[in-house]
Amino acid sequence: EKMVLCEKIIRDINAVFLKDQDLASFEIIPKEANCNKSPVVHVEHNLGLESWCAQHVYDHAHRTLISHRRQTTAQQLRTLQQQSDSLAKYINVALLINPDVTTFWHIRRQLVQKNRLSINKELQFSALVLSIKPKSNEAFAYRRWLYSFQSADAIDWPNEIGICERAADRCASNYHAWSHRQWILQNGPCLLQSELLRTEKFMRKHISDYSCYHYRQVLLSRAYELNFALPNDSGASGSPPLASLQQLLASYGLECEANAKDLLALLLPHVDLSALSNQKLKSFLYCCNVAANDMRLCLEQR
Amino acid sequence: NGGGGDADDGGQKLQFWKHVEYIENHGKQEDDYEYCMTEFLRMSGIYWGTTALDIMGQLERLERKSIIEFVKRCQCPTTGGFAPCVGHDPHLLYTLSAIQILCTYDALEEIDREAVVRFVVGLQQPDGSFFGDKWGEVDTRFSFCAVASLTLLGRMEQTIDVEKAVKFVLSCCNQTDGGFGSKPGAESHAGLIYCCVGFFSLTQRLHLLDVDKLGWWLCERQLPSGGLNGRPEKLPDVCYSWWVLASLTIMGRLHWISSEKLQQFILSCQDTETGGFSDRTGNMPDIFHTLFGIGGLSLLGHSGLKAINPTLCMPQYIIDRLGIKPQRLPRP
Amino acid sequence: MVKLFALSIFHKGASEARLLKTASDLQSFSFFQRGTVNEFMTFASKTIVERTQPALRQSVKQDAYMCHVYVRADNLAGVLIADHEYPHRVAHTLITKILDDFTAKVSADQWPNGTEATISFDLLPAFLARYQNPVEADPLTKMQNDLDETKIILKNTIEAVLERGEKLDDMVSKSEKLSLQSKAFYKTAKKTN
Ligand SMILES: CC(C)=CCC/C(C)=C/CC/C(C)=C/CC/C(C)=C/COP(=O)(O)OP(=O)(O)O
Repeated sequence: EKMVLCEKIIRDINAVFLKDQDLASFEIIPKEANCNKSPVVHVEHNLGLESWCAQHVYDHAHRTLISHRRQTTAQQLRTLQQQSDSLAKYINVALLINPDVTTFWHIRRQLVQKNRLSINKELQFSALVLSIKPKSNEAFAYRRWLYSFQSADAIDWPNEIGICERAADRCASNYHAWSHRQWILQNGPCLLQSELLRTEKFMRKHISDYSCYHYRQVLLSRAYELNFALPNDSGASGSPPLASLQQLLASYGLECEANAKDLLALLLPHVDLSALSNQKLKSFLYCCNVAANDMRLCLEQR
Repeated sequence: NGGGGDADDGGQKLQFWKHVEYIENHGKQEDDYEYCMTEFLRMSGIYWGTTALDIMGQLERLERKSIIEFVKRCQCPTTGGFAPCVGHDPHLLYTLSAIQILCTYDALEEIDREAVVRFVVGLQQPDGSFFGDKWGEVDTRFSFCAVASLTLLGRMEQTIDVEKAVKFVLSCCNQTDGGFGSKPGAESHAGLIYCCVGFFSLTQRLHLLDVDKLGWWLCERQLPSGGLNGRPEKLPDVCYSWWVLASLTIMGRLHWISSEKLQQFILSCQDTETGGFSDRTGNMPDIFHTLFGIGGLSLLGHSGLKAINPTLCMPQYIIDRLGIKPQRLPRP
Repeated sequence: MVKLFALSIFHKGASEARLLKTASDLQSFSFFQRGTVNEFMTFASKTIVERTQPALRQSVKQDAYMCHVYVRADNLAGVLIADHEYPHRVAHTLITKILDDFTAKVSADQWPNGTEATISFDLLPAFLARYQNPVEADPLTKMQNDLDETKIILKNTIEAVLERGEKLDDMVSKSEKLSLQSKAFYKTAKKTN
């Protein structure tokens, strides 16, 4: 009887999946008792499952998947293929309720390899998992794996940054979201400039998010590596972009004219500036200035 | 074996027998929802339970034979790696747990050891890093699991490329704080620092660490409550009393934090009714935090507990029995 | 996170507080939680206003939230719910400003019997959006030097605000304003805590 009910609930969830291509979130709604209504709630692209049945449904999906796996020997893999469509609905439910089960993600990977699941749908599904568990490393790792089949220019990188940012917004110091963002930085197009702006905004709202500060450090060291400096930051003489650096130095009692040369002489007293590339020095000052700006921001917000 | 609730601090006492009972009963609720939800890490769960009991001198309360049978059933016949449970996929994380359990029971000969070695060796990448399984996720945790498994099997020689493995782990060091993250450039995290410090301890390369810088960062993890967190601005958590404390112990800097306050914090996370430790005072206990609570207390020299090895998180007498000598720096 | 969740204005009558206007930003909560969270925020706000003496300011901590309340001597009250990182001084300055604006737009005779429907005052959503960033409020706090921070009473839980013999659990189960759904939510959330 319980099994019949679980089967029905899993079918209902699957029906929502088939009907709604734009599901944005999944969650478990606290509700203690069965009130003879379907526990599957679907409102404005949001999917909810009432908590009283989550255990039973998970238990059922889990048993079905694992017993299936235990039976499958190498020769029977072909039947796996045939059954994969019916398997998918159990994997969906099982992972939404318990996103940590690596083996279930692996079943998905196998189905993707056999062209039984589409990459785009899988990207969507993993984003849905992140809506209920923003810290899920399995989901982020799965996305990276999916992208390994696509060429870099076919990937919607800004969307990927958006996913990281939403996950970071929901959970303070979200380790895996910020690591994933670094992966984007390394594999995507040059996002330095937009990322510097975006993360400053983020920092203003999340003043204790140390992971974001770490990411800023990575951004800055990368900027320096690439000789990056904002074009309007001419670094010529006393241009306002160096103001934060100057202010910081002043607060340490190091008065100094606001021109790039003096600043450099103060910061790198023993370096022969004429021997270094102009672009590198510009980038150096730029990065120092952004860092000084971040420090000021932290002080202000305390 | 000692035991009994004869703690000598002013605050709470160690609820020794409650914890023994908690761990003993842990595997018995097979119909439990929690049991089903945690099936995917069962192998580690068993390692946490057996190790905690052994540290308390109560290992015989679990059934050796059925545990060894369980571990054997989880070895994958094709890859040689271990799954957390039958029906799941093999992974380095559960391979290490399986080997640790077998070492505790002195039962390594029960499995195909060469197959395990092949599994571990097969996961090393050209840059020296390790995949956790064939699907290609890289993490410093897996570097630790690989060398720890091979060390316990006595097969560190002529298997993996140690130099390259070292080079990769070093590339995950953050110059600003001397700590380590999961990959190159990733944020320093006490759990991963334990993995990397443990890695250097097993490969006899602790001289590569900036001990002063890293030690400083680690002891900054102690909060006014006495508890330790794993990163700046995070809440304290009993498991970090293991990750941080073990790292400091390996580096010979245990005395850089306040032992009394930490001990009080750990003891305050006991569930005095059901036994077991939780992450923070007042929360639900679980088997993971129970091992790291007990392990932390053992590192702090709590009476009635056997000594624990900081690198491998196993009773020291077993490490001695195996003739393994993970490197440790002397207290300066 | 520096986050502002809700702003509301009440009139504190002899027996109970009336809600005159409210606005909330619950984007950071999951979709199906928003209704319940909103009910609880209103419930908590009303409860605290009713237990705050006129001409007093209180800041009450409850879990991840801070509930800042100011009841003016004329019984007009403002409540701001934010997280812990939202600066207290900014919160209280903002409440003062909102109540001033409200007084300028809505005459005092409408307060005692007003409801959300009868009172026309549409500025709360704009305040809510603008002051999500506390730096925006900086000029404001500099102007209002008369706000003496030491006079804000800090309380560690809502329980601490309640009168002797009152219990939060009882109030929740007795409240007519909270839906069944919200009560179930409260119970489940407590259990898993
Ligand atoms: C032999 C032993 C004891 C262990 C084996 C080696 C392993 C697997 C160690 C794991 C170390 C560990 C705790 C790594 C943490 C990984 C990580 C980056 C977690 C971040 O996840 P969050 O959920 O954000 O955790 P926190 O919030 O506590 O930082």
